[in-house]
Amino acid sequence: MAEDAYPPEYKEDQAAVGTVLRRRFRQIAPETARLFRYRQLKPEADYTAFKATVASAVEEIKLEMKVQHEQTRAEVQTVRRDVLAAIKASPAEYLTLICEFGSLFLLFSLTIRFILKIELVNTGFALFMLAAFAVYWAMARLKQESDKRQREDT
Amino acid sequence: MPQTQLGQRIAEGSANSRAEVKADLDKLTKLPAPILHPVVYKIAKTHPACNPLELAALEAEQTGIADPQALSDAVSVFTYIWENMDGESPQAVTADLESLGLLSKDGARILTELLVSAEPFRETAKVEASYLRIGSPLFAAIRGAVDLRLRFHKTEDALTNGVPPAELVGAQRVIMTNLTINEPGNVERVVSFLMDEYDLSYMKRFVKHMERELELSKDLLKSSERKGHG
Repeated sequence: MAEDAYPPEYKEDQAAVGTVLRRRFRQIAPETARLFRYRQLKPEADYTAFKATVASAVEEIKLEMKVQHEQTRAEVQTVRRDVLAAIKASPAEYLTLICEFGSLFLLFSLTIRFILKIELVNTGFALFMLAAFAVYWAMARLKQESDKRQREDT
Repeated sequence: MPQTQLGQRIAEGSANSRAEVKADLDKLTKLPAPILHPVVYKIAKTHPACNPLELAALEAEQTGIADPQALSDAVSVFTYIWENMDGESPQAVTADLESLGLLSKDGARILTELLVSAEPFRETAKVEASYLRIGSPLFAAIRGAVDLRLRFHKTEDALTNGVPPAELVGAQRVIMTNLTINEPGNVERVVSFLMDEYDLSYMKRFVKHMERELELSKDLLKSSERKGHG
């Protein structure tokens, strides 16, 4: 590949080569901005301080990971609770969701089957299930509509 | 009077610090060589780009050692000596520690053996760590990419003095890792860091422990959820 094909941020700065150890931060778009952190090489004179520094070297990142994990878990639980509440409140809505998800998966399988020749789901079964999902979906929608009309009448 | 810089540094340090050095050096004699030696070699091969305490914790878990803290302390004091003795002979360093009353005869023998056998790895580890600090990885934008660092210098001095690269001396695999942090106000911050194979092992261990912790707390969460619904 020609040298000019590389973006300028990946090229070596010829003026500085071999003079000092460089820590260059890539200039990239703010939406993909990332931070590179390197452990500073500062020999600790005092052993107690050294031990504390070494022990805390990865604690920050471990703590951050744990916090993020807990946060994601809490979000997932909230969503799950909401979905369960919605299902309990409206079984027709649940059926609609199942049908939509199932149809999407089957369509994806069929696409893979015809484009890449990889059979994820038996083609006949997939077509049958697509038709079944369409019927169930229509029934669920009908039920939802009739419930809505009933509520409006009362 | 200590003859080495490290000896002088320890002698000038606080009494507490000296006591801690002595206590941790004593642990070198209590640990079996087949456990201590591999950890020390791994540190020597990667220092300064390594996390010795994480390495010790992982090794302690894998070997099923009875006292993981002893290994952690022994590794800590070894790393301190290793980091601060650069350019000084292992024999002179252990002689100083012995003269300061911080090291027993057995301890001196073990420490000398460790330092002497680890010494050949020092230069390569230093230059590899320096190579990691040059620029940012080429595939930084691709999450989870494996970056290959090619090394053309045998020593750190050759690299910093700008000796023209003549041959490929080594290749190092590092994994680009992105940690996405969700900050208040839906702001996402991506922290990128490099991991070698040892770091990957610590990460796996950390995630495994975190998952185990969550498994244990599942029942607790279920019961609190039930109470909440009630």
